[in-house]
Amino acid sequence: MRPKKKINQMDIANALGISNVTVSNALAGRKGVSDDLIRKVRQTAAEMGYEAGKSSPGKDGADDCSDFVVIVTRNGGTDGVSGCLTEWLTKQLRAWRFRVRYCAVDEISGEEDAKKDSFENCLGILVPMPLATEELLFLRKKNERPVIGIGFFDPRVPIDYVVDDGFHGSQLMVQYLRGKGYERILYVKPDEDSSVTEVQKAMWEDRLSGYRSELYLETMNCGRTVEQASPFDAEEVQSILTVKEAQTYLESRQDTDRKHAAAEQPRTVFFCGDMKTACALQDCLAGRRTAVPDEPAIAGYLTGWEPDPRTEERQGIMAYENSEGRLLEQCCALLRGGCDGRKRLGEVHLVLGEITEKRI
Amino acid sequence: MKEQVTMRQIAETLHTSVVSVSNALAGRKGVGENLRRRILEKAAELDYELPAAEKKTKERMNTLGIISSRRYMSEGSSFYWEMYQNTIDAATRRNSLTMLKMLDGEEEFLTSLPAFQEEADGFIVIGRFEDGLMKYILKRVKGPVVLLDFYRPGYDCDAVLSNNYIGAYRITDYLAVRGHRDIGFVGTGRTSRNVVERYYGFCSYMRTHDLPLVREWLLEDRELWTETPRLVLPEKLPTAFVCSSDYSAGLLYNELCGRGLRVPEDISVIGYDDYLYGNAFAEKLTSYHVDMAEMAKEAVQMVLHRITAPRQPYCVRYVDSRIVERESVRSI
Repeated sequence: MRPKKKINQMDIANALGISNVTVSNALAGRKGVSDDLIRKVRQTAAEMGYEAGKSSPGKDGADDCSDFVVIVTRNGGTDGVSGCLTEWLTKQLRAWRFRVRYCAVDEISGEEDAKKDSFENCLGILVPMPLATEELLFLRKKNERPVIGIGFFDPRVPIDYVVDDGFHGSQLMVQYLRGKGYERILYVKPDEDSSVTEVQKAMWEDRLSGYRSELYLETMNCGRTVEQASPFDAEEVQSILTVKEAQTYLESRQDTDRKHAAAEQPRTVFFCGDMKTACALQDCLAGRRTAVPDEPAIAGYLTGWEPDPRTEERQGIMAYENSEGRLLEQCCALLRGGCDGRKRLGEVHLVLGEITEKRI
Repeated sequence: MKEQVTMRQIAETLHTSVVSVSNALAGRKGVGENLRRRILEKAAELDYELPAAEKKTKERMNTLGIISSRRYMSEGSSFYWEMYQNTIDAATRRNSLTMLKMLDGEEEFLTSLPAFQEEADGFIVIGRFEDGLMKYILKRVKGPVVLLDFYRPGYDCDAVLSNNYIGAYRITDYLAVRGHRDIGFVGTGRTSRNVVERYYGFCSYMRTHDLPLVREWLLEDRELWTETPRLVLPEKLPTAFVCSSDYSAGLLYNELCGRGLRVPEDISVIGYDDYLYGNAFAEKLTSYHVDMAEMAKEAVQMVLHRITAPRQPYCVRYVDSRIVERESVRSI
């Protein structure tokens, strides 16, 4: 007689046509699942004989023999944004009770059967830093398990990617700032020095594109007019500054404020491409005297895996923030393979964050 | 009171798995016909009953209202007609009925529709409409609304879109990998948020890879008000064009042919949609495939979910896809 298969959360998810993450949240009574769905999940779980905690140690109900993931990195490559992401990812996966193994790409690429054991029975392979196209293609070719790139995207490699939606996140921030009454939204680009990685440059470009596009789209939302400019010629409606230019602007603004009533100046906000830039501008404002104490305002952009230089003293900065939880939830859903049987072609999964405002 | 029979009991009796029992009772694939028959017979013999919640769901079919414009839906020739068919298919798979409201030209510019049927459980709006009418629909209908292939910030509803920004980035990369550096763009951003996002996806790629953005090679393809096709080629041309839609690619192709130029021998062209009807160029055009089936499925899923969870935050889902390679791009 065949041994009885233990029911796991994936089985419940398949039976109900929902994601296993939703099943996990429902069984644990976490937020984000409706009461009706919680009831339905629990009834189905009871019906199918699911026993919590008996199927796997994984927080998300991993299969008995596949409860670990492999993080592939470059040997010693823990610098900058990718290094933070690896560290954050490991911490989060362990909190969700996944076991984590590391594998350096140099050990496996170019050899047919090398390190095959590293991937045997794993749930999937996570790549938190951009590898060479050939390396990613090799990983994909050698593994039937999901290979997921995190925080970057290579259009030449058809694996899944989970990335912060910088483009739409920036649009969201512009919409938010406009809703708060800021008439002038100036974008401040982070400084590009030699330490900046290609990943960072790509992230910043996405955010800047979001800003540019939203300012143009605002003109469209006002209704079509004969004078509607083409986006090809829309640069004049945007104000994009470097950090130095922003500081110069602040100094000149200080003189203007003294000469004219503050009420005549349009409400202005600096929307900075990352939090480090936002903090640098705030330092610049710190010694500035102005009749309008919170003008110009500052907004920044932050993802859960970038370093956050804000401290208690820096509570005046508005922020778009993308939490690690959202990113990991998407990764978990992909690791479990989803439940709709769709053949995986490799998709970019954009994860959108939210605006937070911690003002004094 | 008689103890309720469970799926596990049925499984143990037949020496099979609970998963097989579940699939058989739900009519899902993955169970052999012989086993399925035995499971159903045993369930009937043991007086197995579906759980109350599931019974309630099975008994009640949802009705989804689909709203679109007659100008989008010329049967057999329209992108949105195919989107509509995919939506019906997706709704049927989810045990939902559909009813179609097709708006005629004048109705689209009204801000009220007295005869509008507002009794569906949820609504899917296919295509773009004027702001006034959209606000009316969102205010007037009783059920949740999901926009399909259209979105505007500030609307209290969900939306499903093609991954415009990433898709345009992908097709620009496709050209760059094949040696193209002088790349133009065709599309009229003034008419569509989707086109604007594709344009910025193209720009993002060009800027990130230090490729020149030449104003002369950024071409609009239609008149603003009438949307009459109008594409004027510059004197000097790039080696390739990214087109914001296959329709734009078709217009470009016609203009290039008119100038005696060949595709891809003289100019490479890549499109977006993978849907070009009524143009011989369709058989040759390499294009980013808009996965209408997946978009429709997501839209139906979102609206059905919203019926049971009306207070969840609204979201926009962007559906990525792949490039369909044909013969309109050559390597240089």
